Amino acid sequence: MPQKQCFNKTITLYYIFLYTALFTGILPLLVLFLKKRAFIFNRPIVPFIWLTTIASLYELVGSIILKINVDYWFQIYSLLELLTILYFYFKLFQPRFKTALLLVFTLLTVTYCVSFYYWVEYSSFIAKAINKTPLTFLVLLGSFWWVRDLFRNDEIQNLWQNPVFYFVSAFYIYYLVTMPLFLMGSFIFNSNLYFYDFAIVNIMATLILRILLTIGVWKMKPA
Amino acid sequence: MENETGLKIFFWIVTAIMLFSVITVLLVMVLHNKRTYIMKQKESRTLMSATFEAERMERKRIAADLHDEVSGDLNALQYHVTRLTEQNEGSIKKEELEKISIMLSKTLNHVENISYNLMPPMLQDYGLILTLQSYFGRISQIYTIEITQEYLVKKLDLPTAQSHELFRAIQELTTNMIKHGDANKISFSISMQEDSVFFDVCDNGASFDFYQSSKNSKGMGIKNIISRLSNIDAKLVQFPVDHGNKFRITLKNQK
Repeated sequence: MPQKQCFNKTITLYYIFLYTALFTGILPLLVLFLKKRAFIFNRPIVPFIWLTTIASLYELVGSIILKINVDYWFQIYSLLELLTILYFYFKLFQPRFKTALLLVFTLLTVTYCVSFYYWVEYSSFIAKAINKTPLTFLVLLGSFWWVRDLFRNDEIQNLWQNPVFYFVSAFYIYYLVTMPLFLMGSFIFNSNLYFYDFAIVNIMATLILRILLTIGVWKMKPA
Repeated sequence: MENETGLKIFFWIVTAIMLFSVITVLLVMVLHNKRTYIMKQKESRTLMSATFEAERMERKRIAADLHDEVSGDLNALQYHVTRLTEQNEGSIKKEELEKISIMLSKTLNHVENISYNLMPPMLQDYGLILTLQSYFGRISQIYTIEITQEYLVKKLDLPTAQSHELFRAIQELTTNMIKHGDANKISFSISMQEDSVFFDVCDNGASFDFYQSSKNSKGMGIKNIISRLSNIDAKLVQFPVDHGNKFRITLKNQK
């Protein structure tokens, strides 16, 4: 009986964090609308903010309320995710690293195509791991370039007031912390282990990602 | 079962390592930026200090030039004009000479005022209190304004550079009160408590939010006050009052 109670508590806690994470996904775009910058797509982060909002709404309505299978969405999301993140770094470092980013784009496209081979309905963990790994590599590379610039140029006076710091940190935290989960997701799912115990890592990282995105958007200066 | 426990442990260890590495990198970034920020602030303060010192020296030089040379020449010129007026000989009309004399006298006053504003001559020799008394005396004559002064400190031993910055800040504040706030009453006091000196300035003019104005202001006046006070480690605080404005400049004694 106490074991069941504990299980129920875990589930409740999981759903509290899940709903919070989903709702916070809408916040960055709301802030963008509030600051009248929602359609300024030349800002590197704006496409990703739109994607985050669409993903939150889809997962909330399509997955939780209408109980639609999310595997198709996850596969489409992976493509949109890699494109928006690539766009973020491309615009951020423009006109530098064009060749390197083009190479990464090629790698991401190849891995995305490969992921279709492993994609199975109701079990898309392998496809997800294939998509996330090169994306994590891109985030690591982009973060490294940005931190190197920060150390070399010393142009940013106060990091806390710099929106890019929040965006770079958000990606860095999310992709690095969730990497083990996505890589091992298939093993965990197919074992007798309780998947929600591990999925909480993704929920918490998503929550942090979205909070940081909201702060970053809030700190953005007028166009 | 053993494999599952192993998998679980492995997962949490790898996730913890990732989290730890992320936090470490972020911490290094923040600390580096903080250190750079402090260094840049120090550099900018040194630069600002040097700029203010250069400005003070230049003001002093221009004031001395104006006083010693231009004023001297104008005085000599006025003396000649006065003599010509008294003699009233030849074709030069007396009225014309009197006009020239009045114009010269006004120009002389202007030059003296400019010289005084550039660098009050008393500041270096007689100190801040006497200079402020002289300054308030002058502005109460120029503008129709009532200025009450209270000095609870007999003498202030401050370096000339520090006195100069304080004088300029107080001058800027009072000028703003008269010109932009339409004040007709100003009260000023200097007091001391332990190791701090307080300069209080109040007026009955239009109220304004100093810090908000410092953010929005296009003019240099308010920004100048902030820079000058920051240069000598003094702080300006605005107190909420029903009518007018109340400011306090606090200077920590650096002995």
